[in-house]
Amino acid sequence: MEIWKFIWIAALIVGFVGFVWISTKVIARGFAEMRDLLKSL
Amino acid sequence: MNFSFLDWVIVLFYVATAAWAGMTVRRRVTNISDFLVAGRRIRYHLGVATLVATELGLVTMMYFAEQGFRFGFAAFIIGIIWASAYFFIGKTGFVVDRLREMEIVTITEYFSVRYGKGVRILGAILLIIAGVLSLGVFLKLGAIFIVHFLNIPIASIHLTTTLLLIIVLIYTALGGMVSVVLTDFIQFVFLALGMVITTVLVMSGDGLMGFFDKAAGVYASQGFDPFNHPEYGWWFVAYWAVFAISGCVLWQPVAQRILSSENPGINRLIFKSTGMMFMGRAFFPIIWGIGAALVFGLDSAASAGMPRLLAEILPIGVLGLVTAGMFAAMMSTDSSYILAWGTIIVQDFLDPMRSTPLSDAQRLRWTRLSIGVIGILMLVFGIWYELKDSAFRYLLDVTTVYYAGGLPALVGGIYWKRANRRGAYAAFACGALLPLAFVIEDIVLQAQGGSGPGFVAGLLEPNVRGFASFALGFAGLYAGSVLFSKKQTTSQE
Repeated sequence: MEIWKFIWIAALIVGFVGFVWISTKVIARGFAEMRDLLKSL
Repeated sequence: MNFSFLDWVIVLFYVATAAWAGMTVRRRVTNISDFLVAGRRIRYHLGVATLVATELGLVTMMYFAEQGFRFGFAAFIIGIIWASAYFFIGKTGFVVDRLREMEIVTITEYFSVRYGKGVRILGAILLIIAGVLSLGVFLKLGAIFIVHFLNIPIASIHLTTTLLLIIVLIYTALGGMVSVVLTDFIQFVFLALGMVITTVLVMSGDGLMGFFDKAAGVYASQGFDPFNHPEYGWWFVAYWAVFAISGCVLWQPVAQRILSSENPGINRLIFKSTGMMFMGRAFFPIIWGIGAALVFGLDSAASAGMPRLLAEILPIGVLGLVTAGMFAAMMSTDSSYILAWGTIIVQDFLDPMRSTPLSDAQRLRWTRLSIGVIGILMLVFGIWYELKDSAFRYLLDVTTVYYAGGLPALVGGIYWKRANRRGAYAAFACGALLPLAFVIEDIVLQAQGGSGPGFVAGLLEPNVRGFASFALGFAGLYAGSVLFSKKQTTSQE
């Protein structure tokens, strides 16, 4: 069980950091892309 | 739970902004390409936002929380495999590169190009069955969440969910994909914030290590090892792996985004980033479900556990943000799914059945009408149908009806020259056999008021049945293509 506990803790940390990092990037730059999309229509 | 004035302001601000944004883009949507695939102008960041918002519904959080509540950290395997499937597609461009290059609108349209109109219609019928049956439980799970989270009377539930559904239907029918993408982006902001804050709050009491130790006391080793868990095991891993790949390339709401991107390169980037996001998509609600089991005990109702926990632990302000996030999750997924199936009904079923193709104006009108009909079906089925097993298991079963034949027909069509029309028919027929029989039996039994598993349910263990369906689909494609290849060539000559 200890091995699995270690694996899931590591996976959770990777998942959490990845989620926060990509969300921040998407929120920061997505506004400009949305504006461009609306302008292009 | 104390739902303060500030919380209501946040929720109402979100609902009003999403509804306003969705409806105001109508005047910008001038043709069917804008309506269905946003003029194929979706770039990377917007692509990630819309794909995540679509595939991260309130229903997703409810079924993952239920899995976490019942089976502990072993349920993490679902997120790992799902994320791996997205990474694989993003790295290799498997199937999606070719699909984007073809400039089609739906995946079933590919079946028409490769195998002919009949295969397209058969694929569309199975996809419509899978989609409408899936959509049926969306409102039900949303209602369970709202009842336990906001602690409102049962009588108000149908009114609240119907009201949200009507808002979604109006902006989807008016603005199509552009409305959906715009509202998806707003919803992504609320969703991401709400999920991260909630996860931190659920674990903050015990700390990271303390939370895992506490869970070990409740679930024991079985709750950590997916390969030795009766719900999962090797058969589940095999079934879920092919299912996840199918989800990336066949599921119309995902496919609609593949086909809306600027080019295949952007598709790959979107898939890689979304893979990482999808680990969080599974892990966070599973953590909430485990947290609920630790607080209320494994004997309490699994599906109600997560909303009950959140109602207890979230402070003023965060409560409003999370409610807005959950409404966002519900609305973004519902709108995308309704648009996706409205598109399928018109593009792949109604249009191919006619002798003269529909004009753009007719297509737009029929798609809007289909969106309304799907909304009504969602309401009726959502109120009537009672889930026997977990929501996750139900969704696996109904979706396999289409995936098990669709994956071999799609992959074979792209990478195997000998794949032909009869093979594709056989793939769909063989793949749908077991899951369709199971789903029909389940609905008939419920209509008759019966309880307990039926004949088909007792034949094979669920994970074996799921994997066997895919195996049958591939066997059908091979047998149909090889056995009938000569005859077909002769008849074509």
